[in-house]
Amino acid sequence: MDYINAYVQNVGRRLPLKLRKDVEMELHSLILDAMEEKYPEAEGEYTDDQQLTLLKEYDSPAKMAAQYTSPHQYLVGPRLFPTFKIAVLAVSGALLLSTLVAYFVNMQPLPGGGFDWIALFTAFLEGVFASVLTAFGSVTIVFAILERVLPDHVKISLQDEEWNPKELYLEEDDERVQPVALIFGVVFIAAGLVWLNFFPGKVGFFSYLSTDDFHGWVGVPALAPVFFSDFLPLINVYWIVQAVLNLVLMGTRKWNRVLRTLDLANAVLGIVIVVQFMNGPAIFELGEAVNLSGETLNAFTLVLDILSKMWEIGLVFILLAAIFGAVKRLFRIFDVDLENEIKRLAKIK
Amino acid sequence: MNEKTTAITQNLVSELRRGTLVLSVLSRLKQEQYGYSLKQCLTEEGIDIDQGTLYPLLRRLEKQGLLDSDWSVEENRPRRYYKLNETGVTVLEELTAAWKEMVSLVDKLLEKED
Repeated sequence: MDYINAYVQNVGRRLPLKLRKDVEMELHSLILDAMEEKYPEAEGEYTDDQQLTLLKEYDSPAKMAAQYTSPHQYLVGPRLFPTFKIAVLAVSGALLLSTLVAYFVNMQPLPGGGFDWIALFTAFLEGVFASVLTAFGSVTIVFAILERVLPDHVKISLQDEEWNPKELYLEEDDERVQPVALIFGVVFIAAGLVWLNFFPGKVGFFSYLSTDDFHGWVGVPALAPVFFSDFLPLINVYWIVQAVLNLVLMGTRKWNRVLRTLDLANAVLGIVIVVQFMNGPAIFELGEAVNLSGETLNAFTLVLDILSKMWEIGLVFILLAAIFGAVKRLFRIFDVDLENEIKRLAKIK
Repeated sequence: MNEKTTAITQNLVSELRRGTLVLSVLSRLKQEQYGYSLKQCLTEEGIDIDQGTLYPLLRRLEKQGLLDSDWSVEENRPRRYYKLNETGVTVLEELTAAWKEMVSLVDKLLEKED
């Protein structure tokens, strides 16, 4: 395995985008210089053991990356981030468990016996969503404060002094694409397009009904007509462009500037769609239900209320992620292949 | 000296050395150097500096406006060369003067204790 490249990548991944490629190239060159001096007999062909032995003399990727960045660049820096991730998982897990236990303990049976499982489940989801968000925010604030007040020698990281170069992994070339992921993308987009455009009434809740006159599944549409008139056309465009992009990438197997520009334009369209969702009318609305009992309809209404609230909160995160994704795509467009540029300039000299 | 004292001394010596790193690095950059050649040059002079400290330090000094850098391709390997610019030369001169003054003052203090 190319441990040297893996090390360089792992350092670069922790650096700001504008610094990344430059530092990766310099670091790669410097490590090769050190390898040449240490193992001159290898003539550039280094074994895994040789690479691992040399890399052990270097700081862990997190520590190396931290040296390149100013201390307050991050909300939670590379030294504390691994511990932060574990803290978020641990707190979220504990909250989930305690919420589950609390709901089981406080369950009230229905007057006629039994439990209203749907109502309990939806109430549980509501509680979990709110408490996990609060926990995440609290843990982030605590670690952001620690990042700024803790002296460097106290900052604990699980990737600290005893790091093992054997645990490094090498990411595939940034420009190459994953055909399987692209195929899955096209399949899911096609399924989504067909479902929403040709079976709009099938987007909703289903209940199995068994009466004297009728046995079978009954569906209740959950999307409001305004979704199909105001939002679906743009979603269709977004999905079709994405599918075409995936198909072209399956052919080229590599990104280029034109495809990245198209990808960026589609990402911007995605942002427009999310903003429209945020400013537009509600998209969830229980349609006409035939043959369903009042109890079932109430349960569906409850779930839809929860979904609507989660959707409203979720849109904020989707928008942030979409903006971040668009900015990242923008940087990638201008991320000129530095090594070739330097070789070109060297030839000019 | 017992183990604890040795450890404390080593820590304090490291702190002393850390304080001289910038001056040591700047002093070797009147001539163009790339990271690894600079490390070797300093090691030959008895200044052992960690790669994780030296390479980011060069970037920081450049960001502070003391060094200029340029990429060069040798034997198909790109290398980033650093050199003191005008500001760096001035800063080095001032740092050198400050260092000599400090050494003289500390020497006097140490002589007095004796």
